[in-house]
Amino acid sequence: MLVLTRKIGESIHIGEDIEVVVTAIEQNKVKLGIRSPRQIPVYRQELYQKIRQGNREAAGIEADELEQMLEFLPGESGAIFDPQTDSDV
Amino acid sequence: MLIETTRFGTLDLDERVFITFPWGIPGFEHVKRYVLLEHRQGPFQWLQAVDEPGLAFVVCQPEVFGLRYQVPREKVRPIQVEASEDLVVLVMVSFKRDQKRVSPHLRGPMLFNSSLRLGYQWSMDEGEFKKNVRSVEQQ
Repeated sequence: MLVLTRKIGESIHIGEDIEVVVTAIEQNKVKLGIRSPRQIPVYRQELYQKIRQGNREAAGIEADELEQMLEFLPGESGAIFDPQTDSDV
Repeated sequence: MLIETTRFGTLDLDERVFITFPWGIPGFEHVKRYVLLEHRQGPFQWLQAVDEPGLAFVVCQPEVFGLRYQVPREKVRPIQVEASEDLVVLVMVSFKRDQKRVSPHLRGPMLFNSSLRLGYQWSMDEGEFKKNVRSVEQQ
């Protein structure tokens, strides 16, 4: 892995059009600004891994399982869904 | 164009309905072209990979789970959304067979530009989720 030392306000260039700027350093946190004209999505690594794992699980549904799933949808009246307990990803 | 699928057999589809994911979908980065297939009257749809017969996700509108997403402008730049009516948000769903539970992937909504037919998955952190997701009743 390439390791570079940068100060606040300094940046690095990746390829032609991605610039990563160190905007703030506080104790054990670093704030980074990312400039990219092509607007490539930027993900935090741990979130990316989580989404990736969730996607792999979701990819395994078979056609007949979807029929079963229709029976387990939230009801018309109780449509409120608690994201804290009901969503894993 | 004929596309092969393991779930639905061979489908003959117009290439104009294909949706391009320029960066793929996390975990399946190499797969760039998908198509949305209706499942009967809904509310679910299949997001079927064009070039990978066995790869398909179940997706639906977040309103099915009583939720609505407010997507900040910078999050739709990767798919070049200019007009808000071009933006479509769908959530991926998985099924816990043992618990017989439908589980939406609320932190990773799929964002689509319906006119350019581009898509990507937004991965939201806790703060973004609290700020940008509302229950339908609250509006």
